[in-house]
Amino acid sequence: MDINFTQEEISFSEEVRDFVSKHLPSDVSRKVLEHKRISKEDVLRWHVALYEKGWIVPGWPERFGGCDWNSVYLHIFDVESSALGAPRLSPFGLNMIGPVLLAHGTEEQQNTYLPKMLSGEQWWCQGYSEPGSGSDLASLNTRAERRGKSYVVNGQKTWTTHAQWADMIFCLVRTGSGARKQEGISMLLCDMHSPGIEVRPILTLDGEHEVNEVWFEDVEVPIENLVGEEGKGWSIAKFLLSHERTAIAGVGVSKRELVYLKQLASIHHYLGKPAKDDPVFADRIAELEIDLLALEMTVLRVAASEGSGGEPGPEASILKIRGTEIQQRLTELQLEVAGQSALPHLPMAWGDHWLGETPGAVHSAPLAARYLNTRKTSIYGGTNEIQRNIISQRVLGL
Amino acid sequence: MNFTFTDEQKLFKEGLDRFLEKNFSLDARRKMVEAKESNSEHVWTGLASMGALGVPVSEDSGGLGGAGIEAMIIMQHLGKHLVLEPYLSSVILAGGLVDLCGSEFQKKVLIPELVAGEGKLAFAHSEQLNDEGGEILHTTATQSGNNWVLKGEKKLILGGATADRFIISAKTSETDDKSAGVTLFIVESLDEKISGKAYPLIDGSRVLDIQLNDVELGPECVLGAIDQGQSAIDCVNDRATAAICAEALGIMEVIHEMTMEYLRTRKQFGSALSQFQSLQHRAVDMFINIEEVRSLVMHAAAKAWSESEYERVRAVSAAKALTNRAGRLVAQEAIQLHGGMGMTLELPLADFVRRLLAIELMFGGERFQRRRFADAADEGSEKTVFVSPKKQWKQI
Repeated sequence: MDINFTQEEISFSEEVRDFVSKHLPSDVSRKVLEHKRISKEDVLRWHVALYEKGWIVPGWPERFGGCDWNSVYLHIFDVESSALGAPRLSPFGLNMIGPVLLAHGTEEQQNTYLPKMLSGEQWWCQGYSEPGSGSDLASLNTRAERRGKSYVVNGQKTWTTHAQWADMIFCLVRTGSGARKQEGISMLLCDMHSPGIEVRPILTLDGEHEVNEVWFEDVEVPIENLVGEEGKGWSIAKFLLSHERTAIAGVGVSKRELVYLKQLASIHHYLGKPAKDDPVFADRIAELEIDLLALEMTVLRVAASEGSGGEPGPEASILKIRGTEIQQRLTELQLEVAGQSALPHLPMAWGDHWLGETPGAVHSAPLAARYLNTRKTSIYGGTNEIQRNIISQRVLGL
Repeated sequence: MNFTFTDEQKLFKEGLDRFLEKNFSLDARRKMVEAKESNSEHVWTGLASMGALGVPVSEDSGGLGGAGIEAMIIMQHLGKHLVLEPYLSSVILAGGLVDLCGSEFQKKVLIPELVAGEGKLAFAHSEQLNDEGGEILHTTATQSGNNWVLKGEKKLILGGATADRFIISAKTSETDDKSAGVTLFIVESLDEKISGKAYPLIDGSRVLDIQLNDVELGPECVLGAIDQGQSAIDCVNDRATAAICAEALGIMEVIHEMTMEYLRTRKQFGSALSQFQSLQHRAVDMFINIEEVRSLVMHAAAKAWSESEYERVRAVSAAKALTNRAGRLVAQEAIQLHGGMGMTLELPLADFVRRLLAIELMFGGERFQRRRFADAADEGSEKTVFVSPKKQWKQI
């Protein structure tokens, strides 16, 4: 056991910092660091830079375009690139359906989808939740009926993040019925430009358009777009969700936001002194920083125990729970430190071409909306209560 | 970075566990507490024969080497079996001071005895118990010819009652800086100018208070450089803090396991308590807290022996702050989930809860440790990646 970075790992951090500072567009990193609105174009520019470097799916095996990085390298990359303001890449292809296709896809599916996913030519979204199926996902009702060489899909998906940007959606659909509701579920890959698909925006608490309803009316999906066996989609769905949980810890972003919080606490005053010098604020910031350190070490520990390319165990639920709690506490403390300067609400000021005045303080303006937006983290990817059920059943055996 | 135990560490771990399983029990502990004993020779010499008392004393000083990870393994098992032996006080604290500051001669005399389990040491440092982090030493050592005369009193000496020798801190120069002018001395516990009394803590372990009534010492009793003792004291205190967090981890694991067992077997409303979701989630929160402690205990173990004071202080204070908070949650939830039985002295749970509480109260409380962590972070060379907000001038 040696919990120090090796010389090799230290040089690698330098290599990452060097690459990111040269290739991450500065207007994009500024928007990220200042919590401005990030467009698809912004994400894509960073995506393409990584693709050209060969770092777009660094955890994947080399023969699929990856670098075979181990979990420590992936962690270093996350921390260093986030610190410099790299936007979060769209995870639906690279972190979700990508690994599923590596493990369960046909060769044809791999050849059709992976190259475009990696180059950024084709964007994905996720069709899991339905209006009547949230935490009880297996109760889903969207149906796919086999007609000749196609499935015909009818139903509705919801909370679909960035469906408005996506070219493809991976969907859980009901293709049959069994004794258990988990039986008869299949996973289909569906073209978002197909006739019969309609995307309707849902505006969230922060006033932004991030998630959508996706309606399916007699949408035809070729049978070769079935992933794995018909009726066996549930185990694939679970495989994907456990991958999602490790990435969802978000240590890199939280470390960046902690630095931002400390900066805010030096700029903003409380009782005549910088907030960071107030013993109560200082204690709460230190407590959060220690919890984040514990999360970071736990991420490294869990990742090390699963080895490279292995499937994360149910322990990954810890990372989802604590990771999202920390993200939420960061936004709460930032907001609290900024106080009334975070009151003004001018969403147009977070866009690309805002030239007007920003009342309050430039850096505090988006904090209230971000606080509201971040409430989603303990709900998505399996609510934190569902994560506790998973640990209870599969780790503690209760 | 590598989180796997080496084969050697695994063997050591298993050997230690088997030995303690066989040679120590909670009943034995309760009898010792009743009899006002604070160690049992067969456990102590057994630990010595396994090599545990030479770890982590550097090989140069006559120890068996190893560092934080090995100390973590030992302490975690002492916690798991709730062992009442002065390993922390004798080996990590006092032994650590001899290792860091001792002359060749002093090491030659003290370390082999320590490693063999034949001589026990204790570190006598605390004086005030009412000013956490602000304590000023009042014990003085004044020169008289070639000799030194120690005067003052020391409190709450861990492992003091069974120690053959004390390492005593004393002021040798008058300075305003509370960390300057401190010197360490080696003193025989048999010295007739020392009087004292031993008494129990909340967990049944025993400590000692002593008065130093003009104790006269030769120059060979000075440990390390005159006036320069404070940095070694800080160093061993941090190592001991990291170690005691590992002990707390071992205790929390046992408490959690006891609680899970109780939930599975106890029935109410016609089903096992483990079937109730509100109780399941509380059990999960205990588990998550323990896993977080495990992460920071490993981190502190790795950094407590680090050359960098900044890394050491941050890692250790983070671990202790979290251990205190998590320890309280784990103990309170265990009591609650055991219901009325959790309130009784009869269940083994009681002994574990009381030791965990004692650990919380020693080596710095939660607030103090967070403050120390934050102050270290401010001094450290933390890189800033924040783009300073730029004013957006109105464009015409």
